[in-house]
Amino acid sequence: MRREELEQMIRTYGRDLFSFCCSMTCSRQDAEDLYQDTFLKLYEIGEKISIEKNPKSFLMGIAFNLYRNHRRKHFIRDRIAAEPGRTEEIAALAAAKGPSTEEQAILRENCLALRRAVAKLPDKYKIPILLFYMEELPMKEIERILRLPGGTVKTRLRRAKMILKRELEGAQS
Amino acid sequence: MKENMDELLKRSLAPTETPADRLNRQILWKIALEEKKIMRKKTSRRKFCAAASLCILLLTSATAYAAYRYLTPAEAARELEDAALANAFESDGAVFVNETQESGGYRVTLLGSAAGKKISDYLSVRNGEIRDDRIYTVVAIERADGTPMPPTSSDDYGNEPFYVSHYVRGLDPKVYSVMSMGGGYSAFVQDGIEYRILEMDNLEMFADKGIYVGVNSGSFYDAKAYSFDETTGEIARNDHYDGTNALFVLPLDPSKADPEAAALYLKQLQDSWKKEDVPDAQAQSSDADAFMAKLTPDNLDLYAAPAEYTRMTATPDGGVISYRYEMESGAGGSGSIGIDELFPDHIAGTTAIGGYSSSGSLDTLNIEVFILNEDGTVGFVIYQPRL
Repeated sequence: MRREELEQMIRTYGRDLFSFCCSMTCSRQDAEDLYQDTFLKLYEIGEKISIEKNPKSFLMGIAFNLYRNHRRKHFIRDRIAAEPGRTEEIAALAAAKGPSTEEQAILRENCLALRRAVAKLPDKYKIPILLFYMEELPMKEIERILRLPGGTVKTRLRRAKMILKRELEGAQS
Repeated sequence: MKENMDELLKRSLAPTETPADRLNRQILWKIALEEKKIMRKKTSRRKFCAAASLCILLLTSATAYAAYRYLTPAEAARELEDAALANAFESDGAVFVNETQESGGYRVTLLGSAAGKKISDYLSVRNGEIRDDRIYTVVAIERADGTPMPPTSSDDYGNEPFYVSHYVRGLDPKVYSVMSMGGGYSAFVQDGIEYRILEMDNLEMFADKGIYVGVNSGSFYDAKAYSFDETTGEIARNDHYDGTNALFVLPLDPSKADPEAAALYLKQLQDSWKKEDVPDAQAQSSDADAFMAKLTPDNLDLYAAPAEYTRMTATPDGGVISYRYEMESGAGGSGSIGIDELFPDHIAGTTAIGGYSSSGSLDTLNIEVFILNEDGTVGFVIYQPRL
């Protein structure tokens, strides 16, 4: 892979990857490290492996593997929530795309509650949720990245949504 | 609710986190560095085209692994706990070079540079004056055979000294370098690679002339390492030099040149040299001066003791020797002096003594002792008064 190609990857998928890293690590500093390591790893192996089919999925796969290896090696500290200010900012951004006034305020609260709830999920639920809803990857790609059978991924997504729904209802009440 | 939940999840988790520009720059910078290293490897690998493909694959992955060994200039600054400088290296005005040269058994890589006012957390003070308009350049020095450089805490550190300096095209590097232009450096060793952050007065005002960065073997500028063309002002590497003599061109933005400021700077610099040569009236009447007045080569050991770690041998270059020392206290000094001035009779074994005290008192007095050796070299050592 040439530098120009990597630059193109950064331009096209930088935000997707960085958002994924932030949500996965719940720390901007760790996310920066993971983001950088992912692109450097991509450059290192890019010549050997064809990434033409689904470059975004390939990138997320690298990030996930690096994150998993890092956790195994260092027992990364378990942060359960992102910086509050940043979470609220993101929730506001998400809500801003929808309706206005009172509805928007409710939506903003729900987005905020949901992001916090996702951040608290165990990795086995959180990562499928991020890959499916944040990155919008097809199920087949998620199965490949997580190296799990399709049934298991679907079960985890279903359970994760049940937990999130409960959390959201709790927050609303 | 299912549909709502799916929609809400997509909306909540939509990617909104944007990586900082400096982060992307840092990645591309590391890749650029790696590409240069791979190109260098490929050039030398042509000789071994018959090697098995498996070996080539292994070499490739080893190169890729090596790619990320170098710290970025910002990381080097952070290693020295200089956050302001790290930010400067990550700013748009910073210069990245990533050029490697190999000579004398060492591989020297010019990583990058940044210049400006108050861009470091650490103040530079010279003659009581704060100098906050500076240029900082980071170089990495490693052994070409892959053996690690000794850590700065090791006794072996400094056994292989390097003189690292900026030079200005058109100015004689023997005269205008880190030693004379308010310079200094910080160093550390990580993963067997020595990183040096060189700092000097900001030279951007000379950007239209051209700025070099040189790394030569030894503790001083070595005129054998480079040639200086007085007509064109060009400085060039001497290919036959027995040692390390890297020389890079720092690609500063020529629009930053300020010929008027440059002329004024040179005048002030030259004036300051003259001032340093004039004995201070206060020092004349100080304790240090009285002490020096009674000192002779014969009674030197009676009144003072040598600081052995400052002992060195200087080889005259054009009839001039350069010396440099650093005391355990961290204070130090350097200078250049003519052989004729020190030893008018040129008799081997002759001792010349000079002294300098920053406060005029004996406790800061460093006695500079020079001895002319039979081979024409000059032994140098600092003595301190026996208090």
